[in-house]
Amino acid sequence: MGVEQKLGNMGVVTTKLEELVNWSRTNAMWPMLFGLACCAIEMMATQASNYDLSRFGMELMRASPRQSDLMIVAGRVTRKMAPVLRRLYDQMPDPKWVISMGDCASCGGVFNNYAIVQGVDEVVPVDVYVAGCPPRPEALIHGIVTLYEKVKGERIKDWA
Amino acid sequence: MMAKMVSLTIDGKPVEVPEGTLVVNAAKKVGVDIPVFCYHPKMEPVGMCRMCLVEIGRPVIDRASGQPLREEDGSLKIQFGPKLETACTTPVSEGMVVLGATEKVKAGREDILEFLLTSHPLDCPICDKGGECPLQNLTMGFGPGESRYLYDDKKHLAKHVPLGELIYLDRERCIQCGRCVRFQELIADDPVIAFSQRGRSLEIVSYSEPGFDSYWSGNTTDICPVGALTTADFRFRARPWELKAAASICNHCPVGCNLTLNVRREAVSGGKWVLKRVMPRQNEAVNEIWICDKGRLGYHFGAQNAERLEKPLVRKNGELQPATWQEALELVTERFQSVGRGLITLASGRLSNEDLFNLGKLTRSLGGKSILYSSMAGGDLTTQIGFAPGTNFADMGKESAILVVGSDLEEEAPLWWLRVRQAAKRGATLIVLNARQTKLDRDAHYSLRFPFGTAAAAVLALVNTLSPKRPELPESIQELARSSELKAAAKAFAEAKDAAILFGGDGMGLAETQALAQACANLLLITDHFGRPNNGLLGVWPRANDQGAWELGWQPSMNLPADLAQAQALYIVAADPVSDDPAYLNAFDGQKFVVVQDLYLSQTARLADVVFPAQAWTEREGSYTSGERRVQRYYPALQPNAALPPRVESPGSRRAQVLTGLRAELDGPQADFAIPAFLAEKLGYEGFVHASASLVFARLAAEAPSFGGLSYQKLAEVHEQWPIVGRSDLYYGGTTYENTQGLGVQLPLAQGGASLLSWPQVADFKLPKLGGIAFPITRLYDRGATLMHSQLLHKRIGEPYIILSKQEASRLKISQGGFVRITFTDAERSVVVQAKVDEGLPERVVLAPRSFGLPISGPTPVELKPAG
Amino acid sequence: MSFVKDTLDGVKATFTGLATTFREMVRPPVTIQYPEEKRPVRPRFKGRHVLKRYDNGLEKCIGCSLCSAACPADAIFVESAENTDDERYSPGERYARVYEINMLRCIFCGYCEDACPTEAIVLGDNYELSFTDRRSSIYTKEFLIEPVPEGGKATPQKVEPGIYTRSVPAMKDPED
Repeated sequence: MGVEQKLGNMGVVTTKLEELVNWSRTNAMWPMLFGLACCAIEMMATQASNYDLSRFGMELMRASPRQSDLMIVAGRVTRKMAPVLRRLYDQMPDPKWVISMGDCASCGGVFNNYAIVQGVDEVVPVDVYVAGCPPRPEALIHGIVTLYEKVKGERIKDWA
Repeated sequence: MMAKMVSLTIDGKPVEVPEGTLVVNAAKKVGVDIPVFCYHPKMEPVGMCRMCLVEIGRPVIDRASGQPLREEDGSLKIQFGPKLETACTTPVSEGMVVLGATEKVKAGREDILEFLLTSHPLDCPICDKGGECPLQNLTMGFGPGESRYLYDDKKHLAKHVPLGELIYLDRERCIQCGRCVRFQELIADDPVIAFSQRGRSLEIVSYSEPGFDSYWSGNTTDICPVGALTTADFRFRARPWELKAAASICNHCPVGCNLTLNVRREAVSGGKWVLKRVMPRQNEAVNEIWICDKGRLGYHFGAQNAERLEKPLVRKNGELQPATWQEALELVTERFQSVGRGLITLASGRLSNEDLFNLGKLTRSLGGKSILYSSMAGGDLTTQIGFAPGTNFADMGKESAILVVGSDLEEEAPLWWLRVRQAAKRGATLIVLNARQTKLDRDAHYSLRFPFGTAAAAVLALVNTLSPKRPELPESIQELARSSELKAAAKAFAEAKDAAILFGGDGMGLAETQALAQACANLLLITDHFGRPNNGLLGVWPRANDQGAWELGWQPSMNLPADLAQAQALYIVAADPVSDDPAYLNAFDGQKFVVVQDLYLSQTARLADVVFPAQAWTEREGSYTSGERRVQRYYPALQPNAALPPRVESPGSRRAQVLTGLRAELDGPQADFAIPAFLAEKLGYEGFVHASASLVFARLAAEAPSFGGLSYQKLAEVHEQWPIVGRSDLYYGGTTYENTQGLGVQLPLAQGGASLLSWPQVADFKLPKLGGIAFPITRLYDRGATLMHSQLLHKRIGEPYIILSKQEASRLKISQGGFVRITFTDAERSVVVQAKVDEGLPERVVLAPRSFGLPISGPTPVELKPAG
Repeated sequence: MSFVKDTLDGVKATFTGLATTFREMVRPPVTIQYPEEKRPVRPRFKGRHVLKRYDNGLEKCIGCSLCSAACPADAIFVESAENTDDERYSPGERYARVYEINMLRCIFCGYCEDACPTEAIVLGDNYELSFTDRRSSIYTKEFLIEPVPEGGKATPQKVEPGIYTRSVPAMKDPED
């Protein structure tokens, strides 16, 4: 079910609409103010003037999931944190994206133990994984750019 | 009789050990580790490596009074030697004081290690021993940290020297401790490797053809304290610390050697768990710390490969086609139900106790008949007067007698050969009674020959000299019966406090072994050698769990081809009669319904209507009953399902499956005990379990009398064994694994075996005037399905052959290695095989190895012609 | 008069406050325009791994698995096999048939570099590692190995027997 079915196949119109929507999405994607561990320090640095996330349309981190499009899971997720993380994700309005920042969020990293979720993709669907322990701000930005590339490739017919 | 105890002090700890104990072993008892390289607890000390040097002091004795002198404070006056002494060659003495951690000792060890490392290549990164290497560990623990020698002056020697195709030698790494050479000479009795040259040119060489021609060669890689000897099988396949270990039991022969299977996940195999190597696991009552090369290198049939069956096959339109379990099980259920009494279940001793229990129970429920596929009979006797609980070859010594009849023990059950030989060395009277010469003769006190085909009569001849009730003896045995050596042997056997008989099937078929077992049982009964530890009858069975099958009531059929031909339905499990003997082909006429359950699509499976894929013993749990009647447990090492789960499996779906209790469809090979239970479930029978081997075993223990009271927990019990091996001190006993997963339990003897049996019927056996008689013999390396998957051994296995007498060879005008056409008159089959000539063989006798594709299950008339 | 004074004070205060703003207007910006402009990394920075080759093109890696043993995150997987002179990948008897690093597990600590007896694995400068699925984060030997240097040959090489017998390069005598 999607816009396409409602509009019918209108060829060039839907193509241009796709581009427009994807462009607007990539230029105003607001991440959630949400840090879990050491990776969060690097995330803050990314937001600060040296790297200035505002350049990517991420004007500021929103402290409310209702106003965010992007969840950056910055740090290891404990089993106790996992339901909270999922609730925050559920509270975000569609369309929404998830970046798993750093090794711990991506696959547990060095914490291969019972307390840590071995990859947040067990809890939420992850769009981009960023390697590093923690990743440099540049690496996070690289991840965001990767996400933008992915979003730009989204098709109308796949929209929910 | 207890040995005199001696008390001494080692590093301040008081110890009390029997007289004659070596200092190094006494230290081990109190937990003081004295490092060694050349000393091995299973071999006599030589004191070559000088690593075990310690300070030893002894009390000073006043020559005049003979009393020990005392210091002023009343303590004994101890005098230390001027030099360090070797702890491995010095026996303990009363009042001795051993110091193993003084500066002097430390300096001595540092110097020895520094010397050893001058010519060591230090290529630990690529060395297969790296990680479990005594030299590495001891250098880390006691080494000097740096060397004063010039690296540039290092000797560089050949690194890739094959001592035969199984074992490789790295000459650079060798520290010349001589453990391998001594093992081959003293324990394996195959002195095929030796030191050559001397000084720094000293090297290990093999002077046999093929190189390192011994069934025990793999053990040298275990006890080698460096990476000089490695097996071709494990060369560079993984690092030891990456391997996971699973306890297992060897399923090649009835000894039941304890194994450790080392597994690792492998990218090349698509991320599956892969069997990387087989290592011995210590069980001093079974295999000590050794295993033969067949067990070590012949495991590949149990590994996962492309030829393994993965799905059930059902014959549709004349072709075997893959089917679902559901479909196959339903078809078999329906057909078995309609056949009922006409069902014959044929299973071999390759199966575990649990498998045989469930199979037997299913067959009984249907009213069918279960038959053990075996070339040896007599198991009914071993269940009654077999080895009693507490029997251990290690306890047989001066007061014991061991009689080995009709068995080429090293070929049939190598570890028993080793243990019988050691018992003989300890002083046990070893009587070898055989038709031909075997390796065991070297250690025998009485080595007796009987004419081919008269094994039972020969045992009766022994009985004759002891018993007032004299059985009739055939003509051909009279000469042996009159010999004084036989009489002496019989006397020694009767007078020994403990006596055991090992009987095999060398040159015999089912009927002959039945008679032999009966004769042996009579000998034990009249000499009263049964029902006690270290007494009794031991069958050298062809397969691992034949004894277990007998204990569970399985018996071979004296006329198997006829039985099979009469059956309306066949359920053949872990047996391949068709490739053993084409005579069985008649049984597969297309009329009857045939179900085969196996690992591979064997010749028999090709003729079946339904084929069930079974799990190998590496993939599942189970237990075997060894010939010594010890029930031992094995554990799964590999994942049972050869098919991998789909690559992307979302965690959510997995969880949902667990929560909703959805049972996945049966997929992939199933355990041999589970398949009959599935069938029973469909047939509506009660009391079958398929969920796990331990549950089946619990039922077995409840229903089979001899297994009463046993459980998997009991089988997993361990106690401390001596020598202590396989811990962090790998230098001491080698890389054999410590046994932490169970030593097994010996079954109690069945009731009602104590009365004298009837004498077996022994007809005179005469060799024909024309043609010849082929006698089956067993070779350790045969061409059976369980060994041909091990590529490495192919060269050792060789092509099919027969052994001829000198006269026969000259009549046929062939020399050693020539080809002959042998025609099996009864089977109307002829094949061209290589001929080997044995000078000691009587005329008209042909020896044909089993499982080499020759249709031979007992003495068979043959005709020989030159090939071509 | 207090009105005038108050006004002047207000103007002054405004300018005092805005001085920072105006000063920053003329100062060059500190922001690094990351994807276009990259800040050079420090010499000891630890980024994505590179597997090195000798000048003749043979791989330095001998498949010893010590990196994998040293790895605290269990990110490295090595499977070795035997070299022959007809098919030679590295000097000596052993080479890495499979070499994989899971970049998402790796914490870039450099222990593998320390453990390597042949200096085959080196942590490079690349930190741009983001993936849209976890599988693509596993870098195989083909990804990791550096290109064949000029004058060298690709592996496997066919070499004369008896030259490359030693896995670990000959060590110099240690100097105090």
